[in-house]
Amino acid sequence: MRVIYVSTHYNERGVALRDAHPDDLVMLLDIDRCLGCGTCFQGCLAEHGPEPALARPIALGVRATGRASQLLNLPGACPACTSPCPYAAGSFWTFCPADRVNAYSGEICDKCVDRLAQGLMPACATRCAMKCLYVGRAVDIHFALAEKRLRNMGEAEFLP
Amino acid sequence: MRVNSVLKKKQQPTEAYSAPRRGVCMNCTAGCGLKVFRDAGMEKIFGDENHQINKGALCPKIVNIRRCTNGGGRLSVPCVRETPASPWRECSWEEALQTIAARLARLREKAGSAVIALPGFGTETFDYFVSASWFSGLFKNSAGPEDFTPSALGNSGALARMFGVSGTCLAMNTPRDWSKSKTILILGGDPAAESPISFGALMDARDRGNTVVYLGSAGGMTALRASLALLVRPGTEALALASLVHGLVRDGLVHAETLSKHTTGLDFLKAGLFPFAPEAVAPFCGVHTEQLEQCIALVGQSSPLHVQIGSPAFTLNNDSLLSLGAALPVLRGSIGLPGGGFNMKGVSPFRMPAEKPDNQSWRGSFERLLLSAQKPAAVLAQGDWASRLVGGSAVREALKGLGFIAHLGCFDNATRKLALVSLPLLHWSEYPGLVDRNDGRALQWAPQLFEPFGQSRSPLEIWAALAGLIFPEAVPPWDQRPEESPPRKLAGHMLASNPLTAGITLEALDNYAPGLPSGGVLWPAADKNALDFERSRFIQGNVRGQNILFTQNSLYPCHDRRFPTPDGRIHLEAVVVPAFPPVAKSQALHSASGSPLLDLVIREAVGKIPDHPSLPGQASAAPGHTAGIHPETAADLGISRGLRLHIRNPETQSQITAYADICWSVPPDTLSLEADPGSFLFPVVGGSSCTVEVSTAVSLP
Repeated sequence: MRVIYVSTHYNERGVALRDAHPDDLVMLLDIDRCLGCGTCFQGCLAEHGPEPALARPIALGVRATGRASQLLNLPGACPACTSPCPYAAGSFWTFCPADRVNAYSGEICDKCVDRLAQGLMPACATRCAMKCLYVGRAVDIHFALAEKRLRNMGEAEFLP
Repeated sequence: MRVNSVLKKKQQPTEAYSAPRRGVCMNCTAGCGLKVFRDAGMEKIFGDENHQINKGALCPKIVNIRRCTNGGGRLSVPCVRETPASPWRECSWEEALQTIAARLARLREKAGSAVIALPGFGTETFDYFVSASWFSGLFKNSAGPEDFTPSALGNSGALARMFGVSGTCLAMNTPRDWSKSKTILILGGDPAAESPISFGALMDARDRGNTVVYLGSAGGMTALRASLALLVRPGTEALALASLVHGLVRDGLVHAETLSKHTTGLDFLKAGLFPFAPEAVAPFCGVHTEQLEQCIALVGQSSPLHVQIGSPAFTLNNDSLLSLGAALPVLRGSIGLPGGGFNMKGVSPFRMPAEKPDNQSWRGSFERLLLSAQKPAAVLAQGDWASRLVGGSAVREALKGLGFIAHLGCFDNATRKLALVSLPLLHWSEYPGLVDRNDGRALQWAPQLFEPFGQSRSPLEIWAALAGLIFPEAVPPWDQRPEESPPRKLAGHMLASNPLTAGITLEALDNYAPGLPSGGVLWPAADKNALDFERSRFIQGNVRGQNILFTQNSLYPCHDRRFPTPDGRIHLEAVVVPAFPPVAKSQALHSASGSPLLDLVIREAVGKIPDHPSLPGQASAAPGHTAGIHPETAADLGISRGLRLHIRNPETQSQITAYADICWSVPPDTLSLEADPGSFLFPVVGGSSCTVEVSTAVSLP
């Protein structure tokens, strides 16, 4: 799964969307709207069971300096680091920076495969209270990104 | 990983399920719609997509609430004990109620000396509020929940005097109108933390190009997400607001037509607010004058203007803030327009101030009642109110001296530790009832979602049983209603007897009949014929009932005027002007006594001297000791984080050393020093400035 953060203060993209296959699974995070409320965390717990050891909230914060302090803790991410760890299932890291691959044998984020199979968004994106977390195909995320950029451009005025 | 189809954001589990049960969340004042999926081996709560408030979203407080209400720590059996020190003894409901009835009957015989206090604190359900009010009214000398619920009109009713009627129905609008505002001013509180779902509507408005301004002391996520945040010192929100109103009048940024045709007392307001110029107010608020002027220019250019109280109305007890907040959209001519107005969240048509003589000095404050001569002899109350009392040790000692405390609640807490009788109360999801208080200004019916836990009972049952034991002749006024169950009898009686809700029937509130979406009915509604789906709006909502703001309801009083006040005018002379803090300006900036923070005025940074050890006899900062500086002040003085500062007071010749830390929570032009007792004591001299010498050594331990 590719992860894209958008914000007026922080505009770095983890993986460029233009390289993506249209059917790739992409997560889009609108940091301008996130309150850090933790509903994604609670949704992950409700979906995957009562053990909170591996599920941690998506904690986003943009400091006034413009640098994001902590970018992303995916629910169910590897506890060894704060980055999304799709080591076993994706292509974000090519090696584990925490050298935890052999030591760690627990469950990691399974991207809610049951929900994906039914055409539903993963639990965290379904539950997001502020509607700042989207998961979908790259072609659909393109649309949400364009809408966000349009909003940032301000109000459009149409002359008579 | 690739998927083949568009992913849908459906609020439903993956397991097979039958039709979900729908209900309303009563955790906070947002009033979100719920869908509960309960089948074999599954119990999941999702948001209701058809509900007008949350549109499918839920905040984390409710998603896994069954872990709390169905798990450990829940009280299930009534208990009694002789003294607060002795252990609890489980007993039957009859014995527990008889114990309370015997104590209260004794108090009833002691006429004139007993006060039965049932503090409400605004967190209770409609059933609890109404039935406890009725029960306490049976005693001659008592206080009920309505006496401790600060109403939306303020304790002395400044808003009522301004508008002449219940200001709530005149000035409020619903979250769907918020996106029509040009500027939204949030006063105080931290709505992003208190009710994220209601705050979502504000974020939608901001994302559509509106401006969201935050004026308050809490800061937090609300201030981070606002377009402009004016962080003032705690307690000076009303001062800053007064300077906003002063600036609008001074610069002529008012709507002259509204003021001349629909208001009275503008001259009184001008005279009262004359001293509150931004440059006079700014030092007290801890902000720059330019920030206030920027806010005045922004508010003065925007119409419609929408002012919103950040925290729910029942926590607000400040007439000055309320009336000034209402005056702001009046001056801009925004009251009664879509997207304009003054909004208090969590207001109920049933929780208006009780019609009682105003000579009780303790009205509105349970702490004042505890300290007064009418100290209650028995307290029966829901929830953990004992741990929320303010006022320090005097109040706590007065609380320990109370003769009898009965605890009604779901969980063990600090209040139960003081109590002699403990009655297990049902959680709000375990009994049906009316939801009268939410941000959407809609009345909703909340059905029972889960089975009752243990032997717990609902508040309506408890108060009715107690009243039957103490006052056998008393019959509840709702007992004659034709409805089948007591909660519906109570709700039907209250709906019919309130002029604001007389047109609403229980059938219209039942969202759960086929074909009717959830969302409730807007109040006020005096006409049964108006209970259709909303048709008069640009966006057709699924809320039933017409919006009194924009449609004329011939049955509602004063319907033929633009503002439904008795004389059609808004009285600006009723605005309560705040008071300046009772200290001189120079001393106000030195509020160090009794405070863990020590504020010093910085005039300039003198030179940049090399690092040197502290001279003998001078106090020096401990390792890791920091001095907080506002970022703008730090930028002006050329201070960066980690610099070692030598702060010297030229009058007293005392000096301390600390490392600079840049933080936004410190007001501009001050230094915030963490006072370490025993390490140093910096003498405070009114009006004196100190000199900050900045060394070049950059090191943070």
